[in-house]
Amino acid sequence: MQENWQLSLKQHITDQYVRNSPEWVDLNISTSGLLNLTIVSDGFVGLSRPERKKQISSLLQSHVPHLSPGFLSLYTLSEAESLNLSPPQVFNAASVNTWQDLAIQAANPQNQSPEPQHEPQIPRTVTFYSFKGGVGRTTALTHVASILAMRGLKVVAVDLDLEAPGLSTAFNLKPQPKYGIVDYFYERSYLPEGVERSISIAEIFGEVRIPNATGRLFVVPAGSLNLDYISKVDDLHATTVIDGNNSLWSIFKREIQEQLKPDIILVDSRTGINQWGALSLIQAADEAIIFMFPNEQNKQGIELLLRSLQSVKNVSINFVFSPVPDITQVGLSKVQPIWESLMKTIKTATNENYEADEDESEVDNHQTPIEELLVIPYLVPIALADSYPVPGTQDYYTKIANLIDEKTDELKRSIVLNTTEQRWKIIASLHFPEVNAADPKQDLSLLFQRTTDFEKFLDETTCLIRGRKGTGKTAMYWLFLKHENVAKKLGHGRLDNTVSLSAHGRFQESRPSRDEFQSVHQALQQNSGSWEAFWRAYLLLRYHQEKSFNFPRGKKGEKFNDLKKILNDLSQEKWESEHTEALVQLSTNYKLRLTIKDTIGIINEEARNNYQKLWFLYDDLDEDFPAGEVRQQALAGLFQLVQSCDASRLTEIRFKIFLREDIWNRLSFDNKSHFTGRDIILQWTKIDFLRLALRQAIQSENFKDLVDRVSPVAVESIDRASEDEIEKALEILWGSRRRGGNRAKNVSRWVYERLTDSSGTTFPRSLSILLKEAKEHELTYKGQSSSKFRTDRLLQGRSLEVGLKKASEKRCEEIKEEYPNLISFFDYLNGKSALLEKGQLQAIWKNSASNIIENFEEFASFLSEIGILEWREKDKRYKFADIYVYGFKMDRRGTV
Amino acid sequence: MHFGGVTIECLLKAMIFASLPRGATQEWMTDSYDPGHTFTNPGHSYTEALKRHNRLSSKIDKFREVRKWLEEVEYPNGQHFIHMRYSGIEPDDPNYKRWLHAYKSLNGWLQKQITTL
Repeated sequence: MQENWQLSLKQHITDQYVRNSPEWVDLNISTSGLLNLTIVSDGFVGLSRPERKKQISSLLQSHVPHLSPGFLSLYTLSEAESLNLSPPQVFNAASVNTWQDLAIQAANPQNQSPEPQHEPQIPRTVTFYSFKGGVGRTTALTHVASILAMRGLKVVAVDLDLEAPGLSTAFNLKPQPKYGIVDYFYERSYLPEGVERSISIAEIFGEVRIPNATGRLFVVPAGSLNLDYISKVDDLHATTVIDGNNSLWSIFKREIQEQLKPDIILVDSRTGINQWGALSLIQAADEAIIFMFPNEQNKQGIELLLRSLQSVKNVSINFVFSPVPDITQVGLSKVQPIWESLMKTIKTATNENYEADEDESEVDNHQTPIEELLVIPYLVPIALADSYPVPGTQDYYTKIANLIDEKTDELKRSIVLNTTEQRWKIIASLHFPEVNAADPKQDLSLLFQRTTDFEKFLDETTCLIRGRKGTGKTAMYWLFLKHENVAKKLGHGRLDNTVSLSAHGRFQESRPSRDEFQSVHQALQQNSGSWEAFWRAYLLLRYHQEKSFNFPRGKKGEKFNDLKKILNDLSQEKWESEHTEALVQLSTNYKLRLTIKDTIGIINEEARNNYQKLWFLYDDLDEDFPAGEVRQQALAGLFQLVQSCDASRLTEIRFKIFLREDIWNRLSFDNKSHFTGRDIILQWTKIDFLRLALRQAIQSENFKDLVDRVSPVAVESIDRASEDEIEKALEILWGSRRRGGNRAKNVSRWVYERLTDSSGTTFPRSLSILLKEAKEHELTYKGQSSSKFRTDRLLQGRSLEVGLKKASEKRCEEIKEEYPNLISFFDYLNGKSALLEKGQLQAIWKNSASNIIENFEEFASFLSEIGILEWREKDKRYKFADIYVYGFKMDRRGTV
Repeated sequence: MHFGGVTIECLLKAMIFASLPRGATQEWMTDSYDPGHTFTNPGHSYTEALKRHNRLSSKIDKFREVRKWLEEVEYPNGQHFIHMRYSGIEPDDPNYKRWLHAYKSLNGWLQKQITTL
């Protein structure tokens, strides 16, 4: 801070003149820059007044030549005693009531007490202030007030713009209350003691009825404009103190709280520097929203006062630029530097420091994105409107409302989490089970998160489900086979006539795998069979095993006899060589191949007659077919089967093939484009992901109780709840912002982004690991003083970080398993920067992977395809995805 | 000169009390007594007194002449007026004239402020 000279000057003088306890120094700098100094010290014994003055003057001259000395009072201890002097009082923030008090405070940082005041309580008071008029302050207040009321808050809007009242007109308040705040203040200021008051708090507000709002909006007008009003305003003093030491404002606030118990009080403040502005800002405000037209002169000079306001009262300050003539990127880029500079002046006082927070300055110290600026353009419909709020203009005001709302929520959560005193019990009760659809003990109906892709998956034409390993393909496969009821429920009726069968995959224990397929491949080649025929035979076998197909009897059935015998002779229990041989026979013998085709035709027809759909699910294809020729041929054959079934109009037989993304990309066969538009890529969008997080967290009854109290989201409706609602519920778990202040990163976004790789894939398993580990780490804070962590959330930022590391380690292990041939490359990354120049990556490749993928460009594009890194054009560097950086122990500096 | 100093001291203290809110007792706050405000006794020091009256002291800061008068009246002959109780030193004529001018001007100016503060 540039004001440090005051502190150091005071320290210097104290060091020199205060040697034992009764001695003291008091330094005061007047707002006009005069330095008044009182020193009581025995250092002056034996010195005349001029001598003392000379001593001090030369000291000041050498330290602060720019200041003119004012009163220099220099006494010895005994002189001070005879003057009846006492050391200065400890500064009391409550005594700052006027702009002048504030200005004196601002000029004397050395006398400010370092302890900031406690967090404000509900109801919070938010003051809308502007230095100049005509910037849309009142308009903004009316809109914000109604937005908050729509969201369910009880809002009281107070008109303190006494010299130019307008709030009740803006709200079109009808009927007007009998009195206004001026009448109320006037009576309380001048009523003789002992006389009964005639104006009660209930008579000075009216309600604005907002259709469909869940909250309520009350307005306290200034008063009805008449001659009496004018004489009262003229005679009122904002600093008037009544009943001992209560200010007008504190009495009003107490009474309105008793009467209405509002969630929030919004104050429309007087413009400029005057007593009512001071009351609104200095006495009343917990939070100030300052409206200004964006130009240089509007920001200068006032910055200091604002900072002082913060240091005195811990008021949080935000700026709204209004009306901004040009809200395009170009226009906003002019507003941004002004905002940055204002925030820089302001934020020193708001930087809360929690020990549990990581120092992320180097990472998050980026410029504020332009979208976060609070900007209101010149809106013609608003300028022309007769009353507010004007529908359709809410968007600009929503951001301001969010700001207020966010803080209100934080306070509410803090109160809930603190008063329950069960914080640790709740944390301990959290568990974040990984979804394992194969586990019969899990209640999948509670845990399975239906992603936005689910609808598309149900679509009949969808036959290919692509996705990275770990995105939940197998969970889907199991869901439909093992938890049919859950799947039907999630399908909302669309699955009622669907029968799902495992055509290949772990669901049936008896199945062929690598070795069998290897042999099949050889046999097919030798006997000029095709994989397509193999898959068709395998499908029939599976169907027969599950549903025991009734072959036609009598004459009609004769041609099926051979096939029937082969199938019936096979054991149901285990996959034996007979099975493999039978399948080879069925796919190479031309006669049998044709019979199978006919059989499948019959199956399709039967299904149609029963209004049934048959779903054949294929999973584990990556495991059972090692990379290479066999995989290529076999999978191509499978897709050819799908095409051929489509061509024969077997509309009741549907395929759902789960396949790893990169395998699909490397597959080539004729008419691959046949599958365009019939595939889905299984991805976890942010909202899916947050839903999963919430779904897991509310497995804990205790946590669910909390959610119900603060922002209820029913388990059944998680899939329908909006992102806002989900985030709000999750704020109880992990808070809304990473750090204090509204510039810090949103936690939900942080979690999602950190767990998302560079191809945009997010792994649900990583989320479980992160949360599990974060919970364990959080429990280590148990027993520590609550000042060390944020009480508005269960999991601290630091705990989430620890969780992220764990999730990253696990993820790295998985990718190593997935691509074992790249292990030496992965190991080589240890200690390397997460942001690599092309040459650097090339060097690593040369040493560790050039024998596996011979072309560097190919190698790099492979890495980006599997989501490990991405090319950043801006930096001309490769950036590794966060989810891998920790696990591979890479150096994260400078990556954001 | 001593008594002149005392009258100004009393005037300043009276102005401080005049700035007190309604309902507060016109006594200094001490460790054991809460009069409803937070001002402690400034003793005989003018600067201490002014610290208890922000508005007045800001005004004085803005007028160099007033500061000079205040200094002259608080320290006639270079010593604090309160110490003149036991002092036998007689001021010479020019000294006294200067003091008297300062005293009258200061008193007049302060009296005027009573009506505007």
